[in-house]
Amino acid sequence: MAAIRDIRTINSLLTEAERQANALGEPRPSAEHLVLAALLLEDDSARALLGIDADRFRAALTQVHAEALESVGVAAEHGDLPATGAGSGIYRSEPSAQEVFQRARVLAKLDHPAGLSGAHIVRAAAEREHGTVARALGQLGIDRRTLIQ
Amino acid sequence: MVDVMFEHATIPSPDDPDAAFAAVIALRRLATSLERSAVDSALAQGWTWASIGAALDMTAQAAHKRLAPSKRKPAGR
Repeated sequence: MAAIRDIRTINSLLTEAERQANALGEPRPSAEHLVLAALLLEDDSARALLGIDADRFRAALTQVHAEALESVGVAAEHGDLPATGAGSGIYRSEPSAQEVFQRARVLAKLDHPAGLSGAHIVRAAAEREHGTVARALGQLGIDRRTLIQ
Repeated sequence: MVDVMFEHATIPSPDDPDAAFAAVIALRRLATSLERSAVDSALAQGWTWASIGAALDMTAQAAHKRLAPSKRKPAGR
């Protein structure tokens, strides 16, 4: 039963992560898009752990990228990049998403009762000291270390 | 299409690699978006894949394989 639930959760996460990446103008999902997908699951564990919803995290991502562009003298007039489409066919993701997903599955197996949830994705992503997720959490004033204790 | 303004290009200090890497990621996203938008405009203006490839310093086949709109599926939310 738990295995079937995991398969449903995995399908939701991967599909939604790709959709979120495309909507933000990126062809393949990265770790931050998996976090967005976790925040959009029916299971509310990711929202409870972070204390925010997907819209808030998405706004933080946009802000992080805008500030990074400003640091090199490029001012984006309108936050998000235009939506794009991923290549059809085989599911492809960036290495950061693959690493977070694999780590989340390990964390889920260590939990009792076992079973993958949105919170496992958030914890796995928070373990990454550098990168867009770490910067977005910092932008939101969330100490990522408290998420992985 | 995102309107961007290039003010005075600066390079983040190497003493702050995290900020430099953040800029690299943001610039990469912007470059990808600009490339796709430019390809769409070029195709609408009748450019061939050979011309697009030449403009991007790649072969027509490589440009088509990576950037053809037919290889992208519609995005949704």
